[in-house]
Amino acid sequence: MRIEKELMRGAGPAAVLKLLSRGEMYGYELVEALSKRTDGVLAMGQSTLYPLLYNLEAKRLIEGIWREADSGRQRKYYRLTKKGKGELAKSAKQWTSLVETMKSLGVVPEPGTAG
Amino acid sequence: MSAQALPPPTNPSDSLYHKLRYTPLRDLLRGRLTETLDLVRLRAETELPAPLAEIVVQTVRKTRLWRSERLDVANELIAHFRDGLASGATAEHLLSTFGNLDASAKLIRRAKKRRRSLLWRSGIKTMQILAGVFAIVVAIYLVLVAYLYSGSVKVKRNFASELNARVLAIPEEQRAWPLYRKAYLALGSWPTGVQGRERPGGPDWHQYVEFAKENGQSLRLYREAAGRPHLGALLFDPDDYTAELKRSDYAPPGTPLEPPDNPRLIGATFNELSFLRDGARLVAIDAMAAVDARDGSTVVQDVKTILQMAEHMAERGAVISALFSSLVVRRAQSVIAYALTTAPDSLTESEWQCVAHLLSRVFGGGPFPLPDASESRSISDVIQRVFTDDGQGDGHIAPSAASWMLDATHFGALERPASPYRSVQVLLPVVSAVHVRRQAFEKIYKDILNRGIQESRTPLWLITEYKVPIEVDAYRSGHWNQLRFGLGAWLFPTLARAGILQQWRTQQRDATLVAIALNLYRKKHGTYPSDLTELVPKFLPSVPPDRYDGKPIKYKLVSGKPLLYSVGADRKDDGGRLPEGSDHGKANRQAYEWWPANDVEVGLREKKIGDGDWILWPPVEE
Repeated sequence: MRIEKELMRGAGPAAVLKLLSRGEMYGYELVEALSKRTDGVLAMGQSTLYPLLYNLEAKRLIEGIWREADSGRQRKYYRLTKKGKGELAKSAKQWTSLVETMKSLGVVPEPGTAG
Repeated sequence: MSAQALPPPTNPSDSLYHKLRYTPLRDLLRGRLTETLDLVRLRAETELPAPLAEIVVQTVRKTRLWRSERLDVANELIAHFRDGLASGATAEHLLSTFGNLDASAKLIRRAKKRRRSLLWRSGIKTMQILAGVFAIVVAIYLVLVAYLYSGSVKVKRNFASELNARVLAIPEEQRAWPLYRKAYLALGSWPTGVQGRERPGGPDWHQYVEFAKENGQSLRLYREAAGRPHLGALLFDPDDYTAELKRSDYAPPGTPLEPPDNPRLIGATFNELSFLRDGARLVAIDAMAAVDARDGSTVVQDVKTILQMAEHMAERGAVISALFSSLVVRRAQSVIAYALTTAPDSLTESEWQCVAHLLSRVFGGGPFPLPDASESRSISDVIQRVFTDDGQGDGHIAPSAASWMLDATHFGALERPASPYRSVQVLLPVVSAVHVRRQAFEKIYKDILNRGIQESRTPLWLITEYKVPIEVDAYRSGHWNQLRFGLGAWLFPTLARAGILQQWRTQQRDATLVAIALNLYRKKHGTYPSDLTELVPKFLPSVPPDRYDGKPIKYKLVSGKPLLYSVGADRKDDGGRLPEGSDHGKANRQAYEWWPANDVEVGLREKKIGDGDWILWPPVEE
């Protein structure tokens, strides 16, 4: 299932920050991870991912470093900054609160209930 | 030379310029021409399938970022596609999952720009704000230009023609002007290099007498003209523009030989003022020579001529006419004073009575003339040329106002400087929007004129302060007022000073009449009266007022000679004492210099007015 563009705009950065919280990753790796780990829900092409990464970089939430990979090729690896960690924590809280609210409204079904 | 011998064509990418253009600054500083910023070269070296390489180049180009930023993005996209291919994805799959190229380029550009330095972003923001402000200013200015050019000026009245119609209604034989013009042209050049004033007893007086004799023709014409009942001068008279007049330096350079159809009334020349001033000067010389020759009848005739000239000069009713005409009366008074002080018996009793009669009747016998509401004609003419006309009597400043405003600034300058004219024109849309509109302007002008006339005619002893000039000063001061009343700043009349001048001259005229009466009394009784009331009614209809306190003019005998005086500007009777000072003329001027009644103490302290009386008789040379 593909999600709406507006919702993606809010969820995308949080998802990328979360993936990077586990360690540095490069662009294609992030595309693959987003696709596989979200069953394609948050899958995004390069046209969406790279502007998103540059935005996070501009906000100093992540930083990119060009480095030679094992294959010998140059890759740009992204990792979370200290500010990015704080932002991720804040974002996680907001999403938790949002999900709880949606649950209370019945938009998101409680576990064990029929949707 | 054969074609095979030609050198291979130069590849543009091999040129030094190309290398310099596409090498980052840091590499240049290290002395290396890396050309790493060349996207075409990058595409060639990327080893990606052509469609993928092309999408990289297209995306990066469309970002319109700086070269170093484009290179960074390109490298990352290349790395991305290489990773994709290495992981087993096909080029078609990678292309299909890339997304929209245009949207991607736009988002990348936006994100990358956010990473630029604060200084750069502030600079861009500042420029954007400035550009925005500039655009708003230009837009407002264009609206104001549209407002300026909306409506049109309608010159409905020909004031010059209307005034000339009145003159043309006067029979030709009653018009003095043609004769004055002839008299002026017949007058030779005044003696030059002479010493002293043109008064008998002066070192070169004989030269003036000779001059008067040599110009007998001119003198006769002046007398004949003065005898006519009306001045009868046409405005913009073609005869005034003759080459003969131009030769005499009367007509300023650039004056058209033929007047325009509907000329600006304010541009009309006051020819009679210079023509008659010179005439009065000539006649006065003749009169004083007649006093020396004890020729009483010529003296009377000349005094009459001068006074008639003064009345002719005042005929137009303008401020300047009034002031010049009263100066000519003073010339007649100086002849009378000369006769009274040097040869009182050179005129018979009846001749003195005649002189007194003539002097007392000049300007109808009242105070010296001041302009009336007809003064507003020339301003009405300006208004109809400077404001648009909406048909309802209202309108706004029109483009033609630029030249009027410049004329006001360079009044009298015939050649208008180009640069200020342009700057006035550029500002005119703003002035037009801010300046008071036609009806409001006319209302203010008429109010100021009427109150100014009324104020200037109020006797000095009743005036504590001139209010209208203070009001006019307020209209002329401050940037906002100068914009709102820019035109009014030079059109609003200030008549207070003219009023004061005319009242001084009226006072001097009155004193001369009293002096003649005293002379007649002395002739009859052999002595002077002890009080001026003794002159009334046989020698004087009434004792004239002192213009500074409203009481009768002051009189006393000093060493058997009469002394007439006014309390003067300090409003205090000092017994006929002049303010201190070796220069009697200056001291006398300080005695009558008008100051507001409430400020007399300040004026005395600052020595702007004299502590003493204004001596009216015997005459004090100024």
